[in-house]
Amino acid sequence: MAWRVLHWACRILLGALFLYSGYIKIAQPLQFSAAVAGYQVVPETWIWPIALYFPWLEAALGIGLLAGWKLRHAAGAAALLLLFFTVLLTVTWSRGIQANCGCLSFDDPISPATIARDSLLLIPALYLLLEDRLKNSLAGAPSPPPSAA
Amino acid sequence: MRFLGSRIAIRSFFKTRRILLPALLLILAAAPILPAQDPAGRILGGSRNSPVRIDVFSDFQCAACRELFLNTIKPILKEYSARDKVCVIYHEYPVAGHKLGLAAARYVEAAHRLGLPRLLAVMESVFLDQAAWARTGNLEASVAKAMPPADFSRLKQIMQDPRIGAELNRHIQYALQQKIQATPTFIIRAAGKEERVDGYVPYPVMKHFIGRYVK
Repeated sequence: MAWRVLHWACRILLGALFLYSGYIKIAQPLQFSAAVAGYQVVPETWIWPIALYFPWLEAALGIGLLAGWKLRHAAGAAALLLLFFTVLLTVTWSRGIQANCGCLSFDDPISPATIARDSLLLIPALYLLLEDRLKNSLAGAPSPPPSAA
Repeated sequence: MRFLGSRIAIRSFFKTRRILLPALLLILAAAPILPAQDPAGRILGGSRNSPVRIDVFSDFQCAACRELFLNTIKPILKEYSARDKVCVIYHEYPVAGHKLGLAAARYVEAAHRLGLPRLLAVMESVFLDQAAWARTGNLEASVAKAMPPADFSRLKQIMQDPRIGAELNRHIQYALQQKIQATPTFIIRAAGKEERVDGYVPYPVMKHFIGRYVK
């Protein structure tokens, strides 16, 4: 029972966050472009395609996590994305660039708090990805081979 | 005779009143549906009938405002506003503490009275030299080089006009009314939609966005 609650809590938390994050960016493509430009990591010509298509990827990931379709793949993608965000935020912050995070709102400057938040979100993503292995190892059973995943 | 004259005068007064009174009542009744006074702001290009409208809230002492004006707004003015496709309206919003930003806004407001070409030239010069005058405080040199000496003398006279300060105050009040919290902020309106953007957006991005509404 506790595993099920944990499983659903992780899915709902991550799924809702990704869905919301995608939604606000789809609704405000120019504001998201400004946030992407603020990171100063991609050429200006890339900003519009990123602003236009990336939010749909986030929203699709959110729906995937909530619906449970290809859950482990969705969890893996979410973990990779969160890892990418965490590295990007850390690099931008350490470069001294005062940029807008553009993660869950557009008045959220990059700070150690935003980096910590993204790092913490990695935990539920990793849990969903490695859930079976974790359960098996805690139950003392051998973990399934990777092909069965 | 005098009596007759005053009778005519009284009659004509009542006749005039018969026309004037309903007209006055009509005007008073229509007043609430007439558009309010245009909000503060200077049209840099295009017209209020352009399919896309961009309201920019900016501060001359802010670095991102400089980037936005020189790299994004200027090409938009050249590419779209000249064909009345995009209307760009500029609103001064000097951030508290940016004393030179406020002084620059005063020069620009005065330049506005010399016509659009002078206004654009002064804005460009002030933004281009931002780092220099922010360091030395010599704002006047940047303004002076944007126009012939005769125009600069006129501009200095215009600067004495107290209405310059009042107009800037109108800009600031309008920005506060719009709940602008940072500069640069712009509000873009097209096809009944509106998006508020805080920060710098490069021209290639704006070009793609405007291209959705304008050929």
